[in-house]
Amino acid sequence: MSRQPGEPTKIKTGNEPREESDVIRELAALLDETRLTEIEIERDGLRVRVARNVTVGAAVPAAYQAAPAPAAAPAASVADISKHPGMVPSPMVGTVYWASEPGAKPFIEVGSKVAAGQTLLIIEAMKTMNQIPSPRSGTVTQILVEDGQPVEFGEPLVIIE
Amino acid sequence: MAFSLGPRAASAGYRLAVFDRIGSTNTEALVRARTGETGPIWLVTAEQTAGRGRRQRSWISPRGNLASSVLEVIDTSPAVAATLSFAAGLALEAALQAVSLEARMRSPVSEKVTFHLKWPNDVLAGGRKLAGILLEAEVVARDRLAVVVGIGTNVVAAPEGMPYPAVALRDLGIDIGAEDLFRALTEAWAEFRAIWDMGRGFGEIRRLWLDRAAGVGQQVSVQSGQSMVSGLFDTIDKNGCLIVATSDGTRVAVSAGDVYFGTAASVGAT
Repeated sequence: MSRQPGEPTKIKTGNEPREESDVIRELAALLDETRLTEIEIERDGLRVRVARNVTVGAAVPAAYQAAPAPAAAPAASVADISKHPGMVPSPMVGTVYWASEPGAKPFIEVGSKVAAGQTLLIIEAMKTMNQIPSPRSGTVTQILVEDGQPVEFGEPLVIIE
Repeated sequence: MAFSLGPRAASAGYRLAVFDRIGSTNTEALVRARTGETGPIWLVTAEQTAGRGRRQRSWISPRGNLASSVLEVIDTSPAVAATLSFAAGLALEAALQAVSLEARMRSPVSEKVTFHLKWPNDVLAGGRKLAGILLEAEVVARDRLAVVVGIGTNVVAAPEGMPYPAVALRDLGIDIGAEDLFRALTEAWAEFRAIWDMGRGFGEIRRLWLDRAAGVGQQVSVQSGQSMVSGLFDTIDKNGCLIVATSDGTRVAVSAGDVYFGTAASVGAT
């Protein structure tokens, strides 16, 4: 069974009555565990959908947080970022790292001045460490990915203006 | 005996740089790529003092073990280059098979050893880690991609005190030198690099890899940073991501992380 993009995953639950908040908490935990972006369940006419914004994670420390991170940002804001002229997209499916090793100083911070070709992030895929170079010189105005976050091809990583 | 390339590697245009002692063959290869080296070239050292694994973990490689890297400067995307990781595992496994066969012919008492590949490219013998591979890629001049494939093998000694079980060829009764393994590796690399064919042959590489993979269809846990995914190791997808089928029926594609066989409980996770 494979998940189609944009199609919520439906999960069967047991018939025993449960508090709705428990269900939501469980779904939120499942969302974290599976790294899905949204999960929807339907039971006894009750439909619960839990979603998260993967572009700007809630766990980003304030220093790197580009914008307030609502639990579920409207899709339009993601689309706006992807059209931003300074947006640097991910060249691949992989996992993002801010630094060369855990605990080391990040390559960039919001406000960093970068030169074309300078390393912004590392993306790991299949044990291949890819240095992601800045396509242009400028100032980092937003970092849209968390350290250790999985990313898709084309997903906005950083804004450089 | 000195380090040398196999005939197929030499005729495919590979060059060789041999060191007695160096910090890291991967680092040296990247430095060379940044200063105009266009490859393909093998770098091998008798002793490596600052070897690196994933996330800058140290890779211990005393004299007698094999520490080597191959640099390829290619016109391809990073996503395609990442699939070279599987060709690297296959090449090393083929080289290990070749040298262990030679060792058995010299000493018929030694037993046949079966090697398995652990996603994406560790080589295991009897469930213990025998070899590790780390690829590093960066854009160099004229927008080409420099890909360095670092390959380390425990020939004479396995490191102690590792968080996973490790083994050396010598422990397995395979009495060969790092030079023998290196020569076989350069031959096998030329072969699998050709099958991979700039990613066009990944379908075949994927099939060969799945034939030799450890743990397919079994319980697996993958830890990446603070997060853990557990379920059945189903397959690898067209990008090479490990597909984990979780108990709730979802399929999660994992691009990076440490793989543990068995249940999450076996790695101390909740």
